[in-house]
Amino acid sequence: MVSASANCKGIILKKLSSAVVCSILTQIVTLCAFLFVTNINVLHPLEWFKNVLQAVSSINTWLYIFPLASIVFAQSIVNAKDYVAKPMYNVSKFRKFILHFSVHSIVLLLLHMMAGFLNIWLYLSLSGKRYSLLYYSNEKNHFCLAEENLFIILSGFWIGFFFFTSYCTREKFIQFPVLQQKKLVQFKTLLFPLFKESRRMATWPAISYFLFCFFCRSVICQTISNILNVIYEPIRLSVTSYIYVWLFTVAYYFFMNLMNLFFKLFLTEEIQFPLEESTGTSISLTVAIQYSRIPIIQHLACLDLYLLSVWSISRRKVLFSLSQPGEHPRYWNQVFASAVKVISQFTKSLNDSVNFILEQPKKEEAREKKTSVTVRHESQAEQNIIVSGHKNFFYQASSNTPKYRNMRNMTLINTEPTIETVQTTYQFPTLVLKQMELCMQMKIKLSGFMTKLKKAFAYDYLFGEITEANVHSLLRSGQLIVWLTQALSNIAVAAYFEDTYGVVQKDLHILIITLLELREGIEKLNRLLMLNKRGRAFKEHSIRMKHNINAAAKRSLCNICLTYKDCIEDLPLNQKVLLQLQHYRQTDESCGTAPGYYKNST
Amino acid sequence: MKDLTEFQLPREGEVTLCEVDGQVHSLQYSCYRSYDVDAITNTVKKHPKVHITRDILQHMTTGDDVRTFFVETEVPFLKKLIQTYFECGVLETLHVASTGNKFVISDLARVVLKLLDATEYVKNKWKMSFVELEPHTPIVSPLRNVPFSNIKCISWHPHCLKIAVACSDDTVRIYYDNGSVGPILKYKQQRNISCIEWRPLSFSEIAVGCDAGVYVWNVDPFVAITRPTISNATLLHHENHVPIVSLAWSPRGDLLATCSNLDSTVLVWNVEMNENSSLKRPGSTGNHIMKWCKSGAKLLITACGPKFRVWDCLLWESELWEINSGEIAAACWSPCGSVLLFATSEEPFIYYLSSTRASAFNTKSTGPNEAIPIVDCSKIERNGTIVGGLVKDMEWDPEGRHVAVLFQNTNYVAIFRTKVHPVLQIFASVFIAGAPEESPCLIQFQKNFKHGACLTVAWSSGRLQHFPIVYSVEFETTPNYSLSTSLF
Repeated sequence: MVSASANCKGIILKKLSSAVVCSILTQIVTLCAFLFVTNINVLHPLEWFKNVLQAVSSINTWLYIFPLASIVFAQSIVNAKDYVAKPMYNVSKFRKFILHFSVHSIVLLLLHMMAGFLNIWLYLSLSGKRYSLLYYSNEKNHFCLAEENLFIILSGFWIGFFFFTSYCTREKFIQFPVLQQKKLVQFKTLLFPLFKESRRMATWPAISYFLFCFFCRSVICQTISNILNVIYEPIRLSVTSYIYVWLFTVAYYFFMNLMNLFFKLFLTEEIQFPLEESTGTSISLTVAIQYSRIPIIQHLACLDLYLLSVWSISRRKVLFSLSQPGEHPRYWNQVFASAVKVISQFTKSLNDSVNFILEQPKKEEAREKKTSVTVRHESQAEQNIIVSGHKNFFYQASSNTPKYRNMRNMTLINTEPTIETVQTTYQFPTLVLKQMELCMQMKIKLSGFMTKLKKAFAYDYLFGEITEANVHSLLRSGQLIVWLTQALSNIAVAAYFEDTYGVVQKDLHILIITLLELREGIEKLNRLLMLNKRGRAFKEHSIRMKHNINAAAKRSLCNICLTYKDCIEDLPLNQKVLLQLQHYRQTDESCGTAPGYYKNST
Repeated sequence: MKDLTEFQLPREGEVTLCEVDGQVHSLQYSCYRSYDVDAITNTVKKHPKVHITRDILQHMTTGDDVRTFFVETEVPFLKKLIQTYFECGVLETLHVASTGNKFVISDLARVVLKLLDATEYVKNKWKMSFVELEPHTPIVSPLRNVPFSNIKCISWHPHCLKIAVACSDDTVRIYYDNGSVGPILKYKQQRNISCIEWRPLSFSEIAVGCDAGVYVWNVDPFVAITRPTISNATLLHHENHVPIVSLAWSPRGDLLATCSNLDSTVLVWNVEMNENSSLKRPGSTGNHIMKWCKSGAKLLITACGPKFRVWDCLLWESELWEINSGEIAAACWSPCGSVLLFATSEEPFIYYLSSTRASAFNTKSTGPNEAIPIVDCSKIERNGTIVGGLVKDMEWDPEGRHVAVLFQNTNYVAIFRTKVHPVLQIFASVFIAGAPEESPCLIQFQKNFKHGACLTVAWSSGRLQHFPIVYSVEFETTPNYSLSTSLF
C-alpha cells in the first residue's frame, strides 16, 4: 500500500515538474523569438526563415542554451521548496535575519547571479559579434577590454543579486486565485500585467547599477583588464548600452516572475480527491484535509471539499450515503471529523496565541509587583522568611523571570495571593540577614540595569520573540478555514434537500458550535488589534484574512440558520448558543401576516 | 407571440394599488392620500414608506459653488496663481496661467499644457490599441432612471425587510420596516452612484458602485449610527476599471462581480481580501449589465454592443451570443436559472433563451441556436393612453411567477404571469399606473415576500410604491386568471 506521504509527494512532484518544464520552455521560445528578430531580412523572407531555422537547429545554439536551462532548472528546484515546504515560525528578528544567510539562501543567491549573467551572455552571444566578446583588437593589433560589453554582462550579476534581495524579503506562499479558471486563460490574463509589473520592478535595479558603475566602473575595468591581460582604454558608454541593460533587467525580472507564475498556476490547480480510502495511488479527501505537512495539499483538499459542496451533486450523494454492511454514514463522518478537527485546532491555536499576547502586559505587571513585594518585605527587616508555595522566594524572585517566561500558567504569574508570610521561631543572625538583604538588593539592581541595557541596545527588538508571528503563521493558512467553513455549511444546507438518511443533521449542532467558537476566536483577535501598539505589528494580509475568516463564518452560520430556521430550537444547543444564533434568525420578520380582509375599492 | 393588447388598461386617473387573488385593486388619485393599499391587504403594512423629495436631499457644495457667493476682485497675477495652486492644484494653475498675458509664464504654461495634452492623447491611443477598446458609451444608460429623478437605484435586502435607496445626491439611504430611519451612507468620493446591491447571507453589507469603484459598506443594523464614516466601508478599486456601471453578488455572497462600460474586463472580487480575478475574452468591449442567476451557476454579462456572454460559473467558460442590432437593454433570469429573458435597445420584443442544467445554453441538443421572441411590446394606443414600447428594465420575481417590465417612454409597468416548467408560459396580467405626471424609474421585486410577490416601483416623484400580488391558499391551488392565454 502506498503511503499518504508518498502520494502527496507524487502529486506535488507532478505539479512542480510541469512548472519547471514550462519555465525552461518559455526561455527556449523567447530565445527562438529573439533569433527570429535578430535575423530579420524583410527583403528576402525565405532566407530570413532559413537563417532562423539554421540558427535554432544549430548545435552551437543548443550548447548556449544548455547552461541557462540547467541554471533555470536548478533555480526552479530551489524555489519550489519555498512554495511547498511548511513555512517556518520565526521566533526573533535576529533569527529571521540569520535565515537569509542559510545554505539555501546562499545557493539561491549564486543561482540568481549566475542566471542573470548567463541570460545576458547568451543573448549577447547570439546577437552577433559586436557584443559577444569581452575584448577587441585595436589599430595597433593590441587586445583591449570591450568596456561596453563588460558593462552589460556585469549587469547580469547585479540584477540577479537585486532580484534575490527582493525575493528574500517577500513572503513566499501561494495565494489561490479568486476564480478557478483554466491555466491557459489565467496565463493569458496575467501575462501582460506581469510584464508591466516587471517593467516597474526593473527600474530601481537598473538605476542603481548605473550609479554603481558611475562610481566604480574604472576600478572594475582596471581589475578585469589586469586579469584578462588586455589593455584598458576608457571610453564613453553609448546610450544603447544603457538601454540594453534596462531591457535585460526587465527581461530577467519578467522570466523570474513568469517562473513564479507557473508555480502558482500548477500548484493551485484543483484536484479531485476520492472520498474513500483506496489502495491506489491517490490520497483520500479525509487524509488530505488533515495533511498539514505539505500545506499546498491541505489547501487543495479543502478547495476540493468546497467545490464539492457547491457543484457536485453526485459526490454529495456519496457523502450522504450509508456504508454497506453496517449502514453507517462513514464518508460523512470521516470528512466532517477531519474538517471540524482542522477548524477547532485553528481556533485553539488562535486563542492560545492571542491570550499569550494579551496576557503579556499582565505578566510584566505581575513580575514588577512581585519585585516590589520582595523589596517591601525585605525593608521591614524582620526575621521573617517569605515563602511562595513550596519554594523559597528569596532565591526564586530573581531567577523566575527567564525560567517561566514562556509558561502560561497564571498561578505562577499572579503571585500576590499565594504569597504567605510565615512567622518562624528561628531567627537568623543579624549579620547573615544584612548580607542576604544586600545580596538581594544587588540582584534587583543588576536585573534593572540589564533591562535598561537591553532596551538601550535594542536587545528585545532583535532577540525577543515576535509574539505576533504565531498569529501571522496561523492566518496565513486562513484560506483553509474559509473553504472549510463554507463547505460544511453548504453541505449542511444541501443536506436539507438531499440527505435522505439525515446523516448531516445529527452533527449540525457540532458544526454550529464550532463556527461560533471560531467567531469568538476572531473576536478576540479583534480586541488585540484594537490595542494600537499591537495592531500596527499586524501585516495587511493578516488583517484581511481575519476579516475573510470572520465573514466566512458569519455567512456559514447565516446560511445554516436561514435554511434550518424552523428546527434550530430542536437541536441539542444550550441557551447561550441559541442566544448567539438569535442574530442570524431575525431575518424576515414583519413581512405581513396572512392576507387580510379585502375590499373592492373600485 | 403575446402582445400588450391582452392587458386590461387602468382607467384614466386611477392609481393601481395591489392584486389580491387575481383581482386588481385601483383607486382614483384624488382619494389616494387618504386610502392606500393597507386598507385592502395588510401584507405591506410594515413595509417602509419612502418618499424622496428634493427637500430632504443633501446636495454637495463644491468649491465652485462656494465661489459664486463672493464678488471677484482684482488680484495680482502671481497671487492668483498661488491661490489657484492651493485650491485646485497644478493643472488648474497651468490653465489660469495660460489664460493670462504674462510673457514668459503664460507661454510656458501653454507649452506645458500642449505637451500634457499630447501625452494624454498618445497614452489613450496606446491603451486603445492594446485593449481594442473604443471610448464607447452604451446606448442604454447604465443609470436606468428618468432625468431629474431623485432616486437612482433601489435594492431590497434578500433576507430582511429593509430597502436601500440611492438618491441623486449620491447618498444611500436605508429604510427599515415600520418606517424606522436607517443610516445614510455618504462619502465625498462616492460620486455618480450607478448600482447598489445587498450582500446575500449578510445582514449589514451593501455594495455601492460609483465612479471611484465599489464601496462595500458595513452597516450594523444594531448600532444606531445615522451617518457611518468611511471606516465602515471598503473600497474596491482597480486601475482602468472605472466607472462601475453594474455589479452582482454571487448568491452565496462570497464573490462580487463588477463591470465598467470603459473596461472590457469583468472583475470578480474576494471582497475581504481585496483580490480579484478577471473574466476576459478577446474582442470584448465595455460591459453594462450583469445578472447572476439565483442558483449561482450562470452569470450574464452584456457588452456595450450587440454581444453578450453567459458564463458557466463552475468552469468559468462562456458562450458568446449576438443580437442583430443595438444592445441588451434589460435581462432577467428565471429563479431556477434555466430561462433567460432579455430585450434589446432597438426592438420592442422580449426574447427568451432556455438552457439545460448541464451547460449554459446547450443549443446543440435543445433546439435552434437562436433566441425566440415571446412578447411583442410594441406601443399601442387605447382611449388616448399609450402603453409599451422599448423595454427599459425587467425583473422576475423570486418564485418565478411574475415578470415585471418597465418601458422606455411610457408610464405603465406591465406585469406578466409566468410558468417556467415544463416549458415557459407567459400570460398578460396587469398594468401598474402611478399618479398623473409620474413615470416609473425603477422596479424591483422584494426577495422574501411570503404571500406571493411584491413589486416595488420607484416613481419619478421620488415615491416608492409597493405593489403586492397576494394569493390566498385556496387561490394558489385553483388559479383563476381572467386574461390568461398560453403562448405555446
